[in-house]
Amino acid sequence: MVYMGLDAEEYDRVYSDRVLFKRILAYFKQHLKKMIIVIIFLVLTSITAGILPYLTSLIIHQLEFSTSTTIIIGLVIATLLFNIITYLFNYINKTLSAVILNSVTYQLRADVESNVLIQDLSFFDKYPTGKIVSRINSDSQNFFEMAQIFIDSISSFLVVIIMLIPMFLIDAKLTLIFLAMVPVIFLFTLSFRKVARKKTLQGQRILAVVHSFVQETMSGIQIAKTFRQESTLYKEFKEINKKSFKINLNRALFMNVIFPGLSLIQGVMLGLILYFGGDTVLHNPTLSVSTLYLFIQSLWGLFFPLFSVAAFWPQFQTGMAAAERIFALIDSKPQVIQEDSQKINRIRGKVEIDNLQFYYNPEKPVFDHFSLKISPGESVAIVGHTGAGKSSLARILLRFYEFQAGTINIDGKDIRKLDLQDYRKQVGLIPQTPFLWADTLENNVKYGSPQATREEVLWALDQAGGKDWVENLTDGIETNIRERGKLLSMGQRQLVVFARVLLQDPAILILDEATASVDPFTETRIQEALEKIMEGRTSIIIAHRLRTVRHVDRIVVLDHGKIVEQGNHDTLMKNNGYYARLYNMYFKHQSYEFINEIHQQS
Amino acid sequence: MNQTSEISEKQSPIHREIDGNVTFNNVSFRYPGTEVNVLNNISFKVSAGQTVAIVGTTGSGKTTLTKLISRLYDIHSGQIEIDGIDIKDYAFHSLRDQISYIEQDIFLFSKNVMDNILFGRDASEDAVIQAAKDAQAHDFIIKLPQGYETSVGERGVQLSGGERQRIAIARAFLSNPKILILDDSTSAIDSETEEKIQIAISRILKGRTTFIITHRLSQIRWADKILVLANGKIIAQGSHEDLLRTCEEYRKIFVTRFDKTLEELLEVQA
Repeated sequence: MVYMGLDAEEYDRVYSDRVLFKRILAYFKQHLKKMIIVIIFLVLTSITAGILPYLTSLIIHQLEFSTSTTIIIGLVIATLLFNIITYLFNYINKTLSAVILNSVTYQLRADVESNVLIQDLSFFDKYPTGKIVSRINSDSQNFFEMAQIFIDSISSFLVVIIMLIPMFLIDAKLTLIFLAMVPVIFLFTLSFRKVARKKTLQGQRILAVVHSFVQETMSGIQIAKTFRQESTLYKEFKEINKKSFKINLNRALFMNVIFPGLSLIQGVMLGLILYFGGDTVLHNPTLSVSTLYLFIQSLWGLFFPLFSVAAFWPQFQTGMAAAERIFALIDSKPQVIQEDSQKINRIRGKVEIDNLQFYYNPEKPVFDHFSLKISPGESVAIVGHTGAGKSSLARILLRFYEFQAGTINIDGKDIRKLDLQDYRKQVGLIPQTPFLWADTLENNVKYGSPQATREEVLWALDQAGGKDWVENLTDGIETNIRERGKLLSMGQRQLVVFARVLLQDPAILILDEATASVDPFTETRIQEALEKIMEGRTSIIIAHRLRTVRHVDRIVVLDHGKIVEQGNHDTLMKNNGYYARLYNMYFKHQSYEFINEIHQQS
Repeated sequence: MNQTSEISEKQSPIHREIDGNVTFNNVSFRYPGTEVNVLNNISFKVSAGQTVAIVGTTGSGKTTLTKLISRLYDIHSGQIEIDGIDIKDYAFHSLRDQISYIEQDIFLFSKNVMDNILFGRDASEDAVIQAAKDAQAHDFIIKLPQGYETSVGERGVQLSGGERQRIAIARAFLSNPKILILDDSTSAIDSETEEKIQIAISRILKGRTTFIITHRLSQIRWADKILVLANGKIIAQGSHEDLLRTCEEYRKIFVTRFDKTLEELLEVQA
């Protein structure tokens, strides 16, 4: 249970470390010149940093064997100078690497976002937006941190090498003792590698779950409040948060084993050096106190770089896992593929669907040998039970989902060969739940037709049920209607979407009628506006309103992806078949007869 | 005019059983601490036992108006009377025991269905089942995993809006208030559920004064009185027939929806 929601997404894939590394390097290659400068200054910094303990040991040597103050002062000044130079080198190298790292992360984020935007709707239907958001934000952050660690580790590694050379020249035996301990450090940390990677991935996934939950809660807050579910939501959140807490604590505890473990090794190493080194100083005049000092000092200096090189792997895993997740998102391919991009201008709106095959899941075909012809300007209502294929038909025509076989021709041209941008301009969509942006009413109406003038916007609103209600808003047409248009009533939001489509002026209209209950005044406006919108366009309507089915040219009755009846309302009612049964289930309560008689039944 | 926002009971308030005649005299209201009236000069009269449908767009003041009847808020100016007595003279429990609300978002306790219908009241099991039957809720309740013992609400089975509404109506059958305020915003997609809900609503209206905020044309059409609200004002009031004749916007609702002429619409009425 704890790991529910922690599974990989369908678009996740496993990359080998080599492939990942290549992909990452490709991003850095663009900054090759800066990278070279960084490496040069890294080496320089490491050299000056490596010389500093040597200078100190020289001062001690002078104190022990000489009385010349001049030399000592000279050495002190030299130490000071070297410190300043080290700082300067370090400054240049850090600044430049910060520039590189941020540019790379910027590029990576841009690549993910642009690929996510070209995905089909099926992609977003399948994956909660919160998870995608987390992948774009947190993972690129993790990647950034990894890259930083990577650069720091290179620098640490150089320092280690540069410091080892003089140590080896001074006392090979002590250096070898020291070196013997290094593999222990690496073995210790490397053994954690696999587990660390797994725990880190889990941590990132649970974070995505938390993100996604919070996001959903915020967008559904109204519903939650309406149903007084705040405490339930909170409880659910606590549950998820607790899960996240456990997983992350578990991960932190695990990571913490590594560092105290390293301290232990450090202690042992120091002990060994002191034991053997002290012994040599006492019994063997070749090693002076100052040299031993240099050794211990170098040891201290070496510990931090060694730590970070050793710690590098587990932390590197976080970044690699993040990179893997990001690349998976960058590499996921849209399913809808246009074979050509034939330019089209105004179309007439003839739709011919022939032998269509479509499924979300191969075992459950939605359409199998489905054919339907719609003439230009014809209005067609699609009716049927849930799962009959009404929404799928709309999605296929909108090119949100790819169909598997058969053909769809628009004005006699293969839908797959049309320029997708051009085609979508000609298809207007009115979804069941209107989506509005947190922007002004005007911009929401203009969405899709940015060149429209204020007059045109007002005209569209007027056509879509009248614009008098707009005047009651605080800033009229310039009122910011907030996220999803929450400042407007449900009915008003529908009217705004109508106006939007009127401005777009598409040849084909696809409309999924809303089922939410709207006050009768606004509802009347909606029904009148609907008629205006349908005029002169090929209209395909997933109908829920009795008035709509009575007014369209043709009703197509769907059952399990097959057309079982066609005709107008009156004919189909007379047939007393499938449609008549549907009518009794879904439309009867909207009839005048029902409204007049229900009162008597009670 | 300068009232405090605190609602308090008068000294020696009136305790009485109410009949349910409601009068609003030039009532204006603004929420405490605000400067703008939400309701302006509202006047109407309802006789005991009548049904009043309140219609209007979102934000026209429908819900606010109903909240004033049991003194959930005190009005800014004007007067509200029940049976000819200013509601400020009534004892709180006289008002609140005899005026019930079925709100838009119906709250269910994390208890079983039986307790949710009882709502703290004392009644026999048979009485609860009868109330549920009257509210057209019995059929779906017995289909729940443990029938009336099924836990609902936050930790139980999630019920649809229409189902919650019928539980609340069953609750109202048991409490049998003199004045009922029903904020009805559910909508069912299928005719069968819709029919059940409407029958339940029509039944609970009987024998009490009811204010119903609704989008349902049948409830509006059969109400004794319809108040049409816009921007906190009553722009039209009267019976269905009155409004068909006098209120263009109202007429349009029925003309457009059913493709009928005014004459055809009035015919059935006669």
